[in-house]
Amino acid sequence: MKKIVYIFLAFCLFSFSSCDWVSEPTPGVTQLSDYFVSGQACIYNVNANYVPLAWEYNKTYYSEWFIGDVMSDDALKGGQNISDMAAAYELENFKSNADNEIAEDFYKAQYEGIARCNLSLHYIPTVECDSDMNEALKERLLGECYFLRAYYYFRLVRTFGGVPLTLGIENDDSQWNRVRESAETIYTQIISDLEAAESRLWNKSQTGGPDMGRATKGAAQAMLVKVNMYRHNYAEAKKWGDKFLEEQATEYSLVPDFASNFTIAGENNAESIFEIQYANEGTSDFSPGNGATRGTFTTVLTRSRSTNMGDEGWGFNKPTWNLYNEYEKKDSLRRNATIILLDADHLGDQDTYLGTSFLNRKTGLYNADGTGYTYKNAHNTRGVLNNKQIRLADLYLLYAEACEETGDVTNATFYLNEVRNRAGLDPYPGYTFEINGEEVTSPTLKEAIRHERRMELAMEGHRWFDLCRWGVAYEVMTAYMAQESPEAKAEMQPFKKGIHELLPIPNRECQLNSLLIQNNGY
Amino acid sequence: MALAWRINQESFLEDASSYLDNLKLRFGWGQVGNDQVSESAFVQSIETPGPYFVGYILGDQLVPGAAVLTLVNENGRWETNEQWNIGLDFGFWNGKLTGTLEGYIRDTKDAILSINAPAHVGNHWAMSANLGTVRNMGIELTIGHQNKVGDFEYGINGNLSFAKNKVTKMNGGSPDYGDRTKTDEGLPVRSFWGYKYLGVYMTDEEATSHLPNSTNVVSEGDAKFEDLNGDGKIDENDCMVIGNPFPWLTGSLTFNLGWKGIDFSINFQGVYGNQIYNALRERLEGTGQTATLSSAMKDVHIWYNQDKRDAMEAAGIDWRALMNQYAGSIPNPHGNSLNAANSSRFVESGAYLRLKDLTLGYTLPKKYSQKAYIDRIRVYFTASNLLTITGYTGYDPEVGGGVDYGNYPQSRTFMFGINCDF
Repeated sequence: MKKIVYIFLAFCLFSFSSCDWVSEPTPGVTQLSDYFVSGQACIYNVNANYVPLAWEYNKTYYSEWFIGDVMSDDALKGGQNISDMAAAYELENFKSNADNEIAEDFYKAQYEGIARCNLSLHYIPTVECDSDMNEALKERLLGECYFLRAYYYFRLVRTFGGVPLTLGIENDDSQWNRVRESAETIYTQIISDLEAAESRLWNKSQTGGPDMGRATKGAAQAMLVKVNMYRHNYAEAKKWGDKFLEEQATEYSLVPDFASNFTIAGENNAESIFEIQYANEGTSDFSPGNGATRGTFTTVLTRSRSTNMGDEGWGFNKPTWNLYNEYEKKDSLRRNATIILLDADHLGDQDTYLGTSFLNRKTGLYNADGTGYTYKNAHNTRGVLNNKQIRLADLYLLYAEACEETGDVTNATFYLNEVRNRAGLDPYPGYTFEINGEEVTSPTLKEAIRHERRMELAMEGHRWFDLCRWGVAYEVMTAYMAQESPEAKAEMQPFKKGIHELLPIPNRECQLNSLLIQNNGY
Repeated sequence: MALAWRINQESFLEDASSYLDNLKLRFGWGQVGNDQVSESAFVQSIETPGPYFVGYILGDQLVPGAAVLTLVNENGRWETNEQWNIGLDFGFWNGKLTGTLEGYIRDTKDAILSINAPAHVGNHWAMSANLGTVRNMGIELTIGHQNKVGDFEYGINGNLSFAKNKVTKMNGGSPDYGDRTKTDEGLPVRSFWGYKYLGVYMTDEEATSHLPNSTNVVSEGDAKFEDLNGDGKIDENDCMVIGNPFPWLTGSLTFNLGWKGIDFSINFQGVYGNQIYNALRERLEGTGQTATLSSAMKDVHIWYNQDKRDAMEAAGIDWRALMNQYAGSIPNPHGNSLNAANSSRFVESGAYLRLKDLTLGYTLPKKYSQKAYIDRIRVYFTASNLLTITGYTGYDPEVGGGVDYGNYPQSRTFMFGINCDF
């Protein structure tokens, strides 16, 4: 039509010859099997599976005792004032909503541990034995992974209820949305993993020296007792308890000095069944995001805020008067090893929080007369002290409970009295104690075991979970709150039965996974 | 594929050739892969021995570990860009006026963004995934004018760009939530997400009547957020889009002048229509240690202190009026735990106009410079970031872009220099 119409194909935008990646259907992925080629690689990989257990600081500090102690009648949050660590304040006073950062960090950390175990359990079986890893060691490494996966799921299920279950490698974003399984399904998986661990792990005496701190056969058996108690499967708990007492008799014993459990010398002692390992390591630092994990924050978090003690702490997790008053008159040994009240010269201006000036002695490494510390934190924030997860006294009392529930009064009484005897107390029956200011004049065996558990294990992160397991959280917490100081009471919301026994599923998770259904009441 | 039509060479415009140098209509369509994706986006790495994230204490020693911190997404694909554009190039009066008007629609399909996986996936960091299709569309106008009158030369170059960013498809169907952001169909990528802030409750009655079903106590001095679904409490269901990080208008303007040996140029740039989430202010005006020490909270802490209030009341001072005046916009740092929640309180306009560069130079006449066997000597002075007009309260609206954590601002620089050509 017109004479000058230029049509030109400017350039071909496609150039397959020089850009091979365009024609690849999926981007290149390096294979993880390239890493899993030696026994040494497997050992390193399993070492790393313990690490999320030790994590305490991401968006906020989220040590498990913020749940186990602070939510319970054993402790108040503490800290500088009520606004110091808002997330812990909410837990303490039953004001949590689904944005609680402790719940969010804690939830995420456990799943990072689970994902690490899942990866190991997928790849390690494919690795051939070599000079670093014989068949028995390979089995033990797998046992450690099963143990740790169970441990992470246990921490989740008793805090949040049923959660999504993942046992494989979740590397496909089209599979991300996942429903919550029932708590029972999660517990069944935990039991199955613990049994797989129990058959593969070695005894504590074979897991010493450079392996001290790894999961052992005794730890797996003790966990089988504990987890079955959470399922109220008392016969099964007793069965595993019997097995533990028979097979592990020479491996563990109660140490004569109760207080020595909470010293550096008492780490991994004869009473210790499983503990999270920390160390004074020069490169430990103060950075969020779970990065550095060699030292614990618990020591600095719980030490006195006083400037007169030589090493300032932040004063969290303060024992309550309610706990203090439940110790029997004769039980000063355990009470003084658990609770410390600094004298007027050493107590700081900020050591009193909502009516309590007590400090948690079990994690503070205080010297004998409470005028300072036996250990100075590295970098002022990172402590050395291991976190005891299960010790023999805990196992004895769980076993006593299982026996009591199944009608074996003899064994229940015997193991209750083992614990009392070490504390220098009269055997059951024949003593009284006070709960909430009311004298329990002739405690039943069940009452006596529950009382003993509180006194023996106070401030070690067990109490809240025990109250929920016994189904008495509402009754105990309501009675306790009524007795609190006016200042503390003013902050507390009433405990709602059937709601507050669980923490909310983090809101962030509900947003990222549309199939999650929030816990009742949040 | 591109198609162009040189309209000025058509017979019907022959008469216009005296003033029309160039008039070209262009049309283009193209589909390309994006090779700007980070090489590490789909490379699985394993974190090996080192103290961070993987080292553990066994036998009282730090032992090496190795773990995958973040799984690579095996469902990943390369992203592709599909672009339609139509443009008009023009030139008049022997180059005195030149310009381009261009419209474009660019769809990035399977756009790769770094996103957070649900916790049960076990990832430590966000990972790359093909989020969906992102559409960028807009119109750009570029105009330049150059002229010379005697010894005097000058030029003006301007650029105006109208743009819009929108997600048109989410591959997984469900939205992605990042840090204070949401990405979903129909929204700009990483739109700000949070509560709508309405101010501070002035009385307890106001608080309880606004939120009768609140599970935690709200009282005077606490932040008042819009109860979007009207259920009488504030929770995640009340979150909404509270800002857009993309400006709809971007522009720049440059003048340059030359007279004998003197050259002068000045360059302005600016954006309009975007918001910045001032996350630094969220920390400083929030709760906890940072806020306690923040100078922004100096008055706030006083007005929320009961002892001080009592003292003022005793002295006959109306502290409520003072609170309204000094701290009415900042809720009580010791109050409800949602007081520092992500909200429109921290969303600010990101508009700015900035004098980006100013240069003044002088080239010595050759008769002087050549005596020193130097071909050309130019001395100059340049100032950068000399002036910024903005309502943004953070350090720098330009580096803020999206969520501003208090990034280090661009510096204002002054530079003197000498160029020598030998």
